[in-house]
Amino acid sequence: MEWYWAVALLFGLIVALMLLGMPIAMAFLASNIVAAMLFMGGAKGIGQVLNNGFGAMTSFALVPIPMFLLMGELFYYTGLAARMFNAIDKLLGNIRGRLAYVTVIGGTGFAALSGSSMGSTALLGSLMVPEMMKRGYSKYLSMGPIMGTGGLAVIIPPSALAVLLATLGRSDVGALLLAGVIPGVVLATLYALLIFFWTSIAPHAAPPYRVQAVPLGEKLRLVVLDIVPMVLVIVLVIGIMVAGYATPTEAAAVGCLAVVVLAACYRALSWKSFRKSVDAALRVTVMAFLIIFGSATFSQILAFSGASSGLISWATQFDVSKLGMLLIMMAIIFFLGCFMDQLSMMLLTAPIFFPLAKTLGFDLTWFGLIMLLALEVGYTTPPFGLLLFVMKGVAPAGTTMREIYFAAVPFIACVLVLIGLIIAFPPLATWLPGISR
Amino acid sequence: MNRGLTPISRAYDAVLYGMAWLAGVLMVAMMAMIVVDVALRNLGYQSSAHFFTFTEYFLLLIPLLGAPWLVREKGHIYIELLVVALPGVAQRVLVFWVVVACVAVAAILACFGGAITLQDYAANEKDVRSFDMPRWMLMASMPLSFGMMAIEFARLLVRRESPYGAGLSQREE
Repeated sequence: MEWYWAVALLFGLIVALMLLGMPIAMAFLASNIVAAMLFMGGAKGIGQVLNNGFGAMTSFALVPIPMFLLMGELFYYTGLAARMFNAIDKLLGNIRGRLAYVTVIGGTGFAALSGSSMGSTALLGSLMVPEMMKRGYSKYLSMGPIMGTGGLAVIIPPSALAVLLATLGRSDVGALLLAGVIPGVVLATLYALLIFFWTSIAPHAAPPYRVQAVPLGEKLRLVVLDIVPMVLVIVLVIGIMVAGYATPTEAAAVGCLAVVVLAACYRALSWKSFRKSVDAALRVTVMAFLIIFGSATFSQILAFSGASSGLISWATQFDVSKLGMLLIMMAIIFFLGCFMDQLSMMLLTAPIFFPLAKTLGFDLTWFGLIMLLALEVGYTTPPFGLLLFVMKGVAPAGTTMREIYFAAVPFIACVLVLIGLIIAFPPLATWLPGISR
Repeated sequence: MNRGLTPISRAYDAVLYGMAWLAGVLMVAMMAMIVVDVALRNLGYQSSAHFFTFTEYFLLLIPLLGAPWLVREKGHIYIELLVVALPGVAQRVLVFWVVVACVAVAAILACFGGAITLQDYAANEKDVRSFDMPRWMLMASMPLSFGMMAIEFARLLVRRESPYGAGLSQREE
């Protein structure tokens, strides 16, 4: 079979099954069974699917995924997330647009610890939007920063998605995790600047209201008790990786234990909260690992059928610059983001894009970071970006999709600016991983 | 007849939830093992290579033990664009065939998983890492998991339930 027919069959089948509403993991497994029968010697190929799954799952590099998920769920269910939010809320005082800043700052912390843009949007949407609407904020300024902080979740370490992408792309997991630190801070700053200019140009978007003054002593207490310890967990996870005390995999487990200890110190660790955290982390872990199980053979069949090499040779034969090729890859992710979740997009594109990036001579850590950001943009791109629908689910009654689109656009623009900055100044992504080496 | 089935279905449910419970325990145990390993190493003691091996096996067992429970809990993610756009009857027909396909996929993998497990047992295959583990012991989790997944999807068909849950966006408060 010619490689282009193999590509059409492999991608066509999996996308068709997904669109028909088959659970993503089952769609991967179903197309693997069909493709294994065709390309891997009939029924013997199905046995190979299971053996590949065995090999892919028993890989130590996947450990951070359940650990980071458990860490985020513990942070949420023990109430540490709410504590941090309340503290930031009280600290910000009377500045214009304070609730939007609270969303960005608190959301950055939560996104970093949870690593899930969907979870972050769902939490912030139900927590912050009603309050902002009550205070007369425009719908756009209420919802935009919430969707924006989702972008931070995937790049600021610890990020389970970054671990998976690096594993799929066979690049350095620790380097990709560290690469997100500076761009994450830059993105949060871009969001803050956007809110500043927005509320300066259109003050009615965030009407001022009186906030009860918090004495300096109370502010210091809030910083020391409710913010510094949470930040220390993130610093601990990144610090032990950079200092070489632990690998990224091990840092994830240590971070997880740190949240348990922190919650115990706050007397917030109950059997109920612990059980709920494990339950929630287990759900996502099982779902994600089953998808990885299914995708293990997918990338092998892509290579085995000649689809990967054919597609890469075809793509590189055109007279397109490296930048042009990067933009094409990003455009494909944006398109897929219209109807797919990040995990599926990543599993479909990484087996092709990473070898292509290597052929083009890209630094794989730099490329991985750009791909993570593109995945997030795809996730938030109108008209069908899935995060927009999550936002719709938690937005006040009567909110239209059009309003959600307009709310998301300025924040998507910030992510695109960041991608532009990383392309123009690669050290933004590569400097910190370089130091840790 | 139903009375006769009740103890069987109770026993089955106990196995299903027991497997999920064990998956949760393994996840926490994995965290504990890695932390102990890091602590021992940085304190200058010799850590056990078995920690590493057990962690890798747990990574296989956690999703396989939890997979049937995830179907029961409707925790899978899916793309709902087409499903929700269809009118009532067409939607029911599509969902029916999607679930039938899921039963078929899980059943095929259970059968082949069973065959591989038996082959590994007969050939005394070993998974060689820090110690030699009989491979069939690990592979046996596949027919068990996929077989129970097939049962869970089939159960949805019998009960005329949708396989779709609330998705990741809604958290339990």
